[in-house]
Amino acid sequence: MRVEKCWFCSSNIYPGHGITFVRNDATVFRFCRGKCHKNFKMKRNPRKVKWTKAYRKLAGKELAEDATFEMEKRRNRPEKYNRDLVGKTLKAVSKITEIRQKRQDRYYEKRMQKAKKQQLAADKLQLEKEVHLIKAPAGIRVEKEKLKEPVRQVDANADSMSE
Amino acid sequence: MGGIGTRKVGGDHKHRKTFKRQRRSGFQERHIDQVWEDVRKPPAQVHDGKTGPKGTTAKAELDEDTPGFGKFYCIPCGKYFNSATSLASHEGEKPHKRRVKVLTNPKRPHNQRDAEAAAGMGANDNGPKLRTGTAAGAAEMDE
Repeated sequence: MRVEKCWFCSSNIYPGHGITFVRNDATVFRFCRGKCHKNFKMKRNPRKVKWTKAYRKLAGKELAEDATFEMEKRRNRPEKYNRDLVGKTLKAVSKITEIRQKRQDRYYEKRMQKAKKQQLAADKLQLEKEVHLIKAPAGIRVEKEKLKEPVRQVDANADSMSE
Repeated sequence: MGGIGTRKVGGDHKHRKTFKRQRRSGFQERHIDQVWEDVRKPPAQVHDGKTGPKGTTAKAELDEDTPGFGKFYCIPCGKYFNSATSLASHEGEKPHKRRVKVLTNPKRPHNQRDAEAAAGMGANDNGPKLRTGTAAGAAEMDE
């Protein structure tokens, strides 16, 4: 049993999921779900479709080259079963994924640091422009207070009329 | 449902298609990675004007289902035309030129290896080479 990678979006394809398409020149295309399959049939280029891993790596949105990426491989030569080896491998796998995740997070933070400055500047500008949504300007506030008094007088008149 | 053009014809209830899709699947376009290779081969190796592009059809004679009997084929676009003049006029058009530009780009189209690399996989590990034909090779096999 193998966990394959989707041809279109590069996500994991677990057993029982997705569609495998075999073209008449015997190339195999595996898709994780109908979304990827339909995009393939539409002849879309994964490198241009924003939500695929191919696009993200190419556009520098995610860590693309790292030593931890060399460790996950399709191994076509079966290893003779060895309990120690299996134990070590499992530990190594969890360690490597931890390191890889940390590196990816660090990459993301670096990328977002530039965005933070832009966000701050945008927020400041918005505050200057739209502060009237939070605080009423002085003129409107005064008018509102003036309005309160006539209403009370009208009520007194209405009472006298109804009587 | 839609208009007349979307009425489904042919096939059993699961595989019914509209007339247009049914005809078109007969002379289906080749995928971009196949075309990328086609463009780099001598034209005779790709299409001989009697059948579809090499490896796509089993028909031996002129194909009456494809436009122009399959004689006038534009390799980069993967399209058939009704006459030599219509093929020639197609070659002067923008979509064709755009397609040629994309295909002459030395970067290969997306493939499974690219998808795996994007997922964070390294190259395939096929193990040490076993058959070297020498005694040393035989010793490796024993291990």
